[in-house]
Amino acid sequence: MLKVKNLTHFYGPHRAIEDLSFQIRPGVIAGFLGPNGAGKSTTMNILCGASLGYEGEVWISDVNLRSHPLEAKKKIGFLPEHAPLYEDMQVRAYLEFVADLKNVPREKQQEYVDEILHALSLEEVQYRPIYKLSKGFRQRVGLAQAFVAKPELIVLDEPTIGLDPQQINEFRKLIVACKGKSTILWSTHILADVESTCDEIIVISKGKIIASGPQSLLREKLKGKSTARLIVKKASEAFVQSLRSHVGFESVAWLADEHTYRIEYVEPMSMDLILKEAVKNDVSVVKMDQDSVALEELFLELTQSKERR
Amino acid sequence: MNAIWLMYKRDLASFYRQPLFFMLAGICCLMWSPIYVYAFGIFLTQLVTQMGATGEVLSYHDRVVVEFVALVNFLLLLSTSSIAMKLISEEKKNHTMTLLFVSPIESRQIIVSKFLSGLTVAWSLVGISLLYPLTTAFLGKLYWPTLLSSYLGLLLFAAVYVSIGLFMSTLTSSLIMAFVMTLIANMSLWFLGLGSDLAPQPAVAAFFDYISFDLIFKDFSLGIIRLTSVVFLLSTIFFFLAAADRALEASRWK
Repeated sequence: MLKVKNLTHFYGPHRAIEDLSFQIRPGVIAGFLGPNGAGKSTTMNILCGASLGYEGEVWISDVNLRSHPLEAKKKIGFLPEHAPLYEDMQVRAYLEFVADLKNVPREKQQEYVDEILHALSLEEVQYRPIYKLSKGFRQRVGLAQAFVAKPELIVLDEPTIGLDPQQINEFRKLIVACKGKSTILWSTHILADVESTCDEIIVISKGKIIASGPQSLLREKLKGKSTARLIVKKASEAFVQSLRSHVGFESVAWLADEHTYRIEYVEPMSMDLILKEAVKNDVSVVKMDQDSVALEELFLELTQSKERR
Repeated sequence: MNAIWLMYKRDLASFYRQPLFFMLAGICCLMWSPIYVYAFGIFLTQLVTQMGATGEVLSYHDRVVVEFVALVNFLLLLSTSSIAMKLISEEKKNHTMTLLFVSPIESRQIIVSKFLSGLTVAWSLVGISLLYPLTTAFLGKLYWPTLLSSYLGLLLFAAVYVSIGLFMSTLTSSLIMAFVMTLIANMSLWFLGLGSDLAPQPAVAAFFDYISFDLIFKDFSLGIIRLTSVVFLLSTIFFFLAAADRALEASRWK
């Protein structure tokens, strides 16, 4: 769907992004992460055709952005960092205007506009001029313009800024509803958003991609050591001894106050094996879970290790 | 074409929705009205004084319309600077230019639509000014060919001002800067003819006469329409539109 190859961009002598290459499959929701100044907005502006001074190539559904810009742009919906709103227009008229600009057939315009107004709960303000709306509503109108033409690729630069928690939740639902229909690339600082909605993650730092791929794979790649937490009724020395005999066992700690074993291990040891040993040694397990690497840790690990290098 | 029409409609509606156009029209009318009435009064006085006398008959066009059209032109020069700052600079300032850049539209379509909307607004002011000679037409015979020639000149000059303003507007996202730059550029056009007086050779002087906005405007006011002048004005408009297109495209390469 989206293919980026060797993308490089300079602001004067300063290299904003360097040799970015990645792909996003059709219908996938991808999170674009990186600290401030990493080059996320620059990349997004290029991908959407707003910025031209770049080296490298971008394809959107096999259409080359450089050689067929008009054709490629028909497939894109973009919410930049600052929502592009004509504040003197009414919400509905503005969305109709955007749909018209994006070449949505006249007979479908009303339907598309109605759909997005409903999805973003903008119906009550549809006949109000945009300058009279609150910040949250304006951001939603900005989002609506990116979605209104039902483009194949939707690029969102910090889309949840200015939204309250309920609106963020509605926005997440909208994103999830688009899954499989449109490909979405969005940048955000709220890692919980990415964690709950994105299939893939691209992490960028200082203009370079430092990790990209499915979220689960990235976690797997980084986590290395796993930690199991077993809440049991009673401690058992036999159970601990049997764990120690397995390849992959790293350490075990008994947290008496919580009646919990904290077991660190690496492959080939697994949760299954730990559970089997517990049953074999007659340990009554009340609860069992595995600490997973939070996206926040993942993000920090990736960006900080890059900086250290 | 559809995209041009779409953007043109939106921009025009925006001009008429906001107070700027009405403020400009109001200021123009405030300036035009007393001056027109004053010039017309003097003309009537002279006409009464001349009654029964022989010799050259006083011309309404020469005594009133020519003076008035010069004033309309001056205010048009100021007004188009205000109109121009809204064309591209405001889009840049409000980040709406990004929407146009990521839509399937070419830069030249943006420029043409902006030019047409700015031109329509400027021509609306010219249209309002036409009401003055028309309202006094019943008092005497209007000489239509000269009046139409004067107004053709105004329409063409308005188009030149707007095209220059559009170009200046592509260079900055500051509305004030766009206004000042347009004003300076439009005013400096009127000094081009000075080169004629300073020119060492007749051929150079003739060239400066050819591009003298002052002389061209006087010709139109007196009912003289030269093809060379029309071609020069149209070329100037085209040149600045092409420059605006390039400047807008260049801004995306930064």
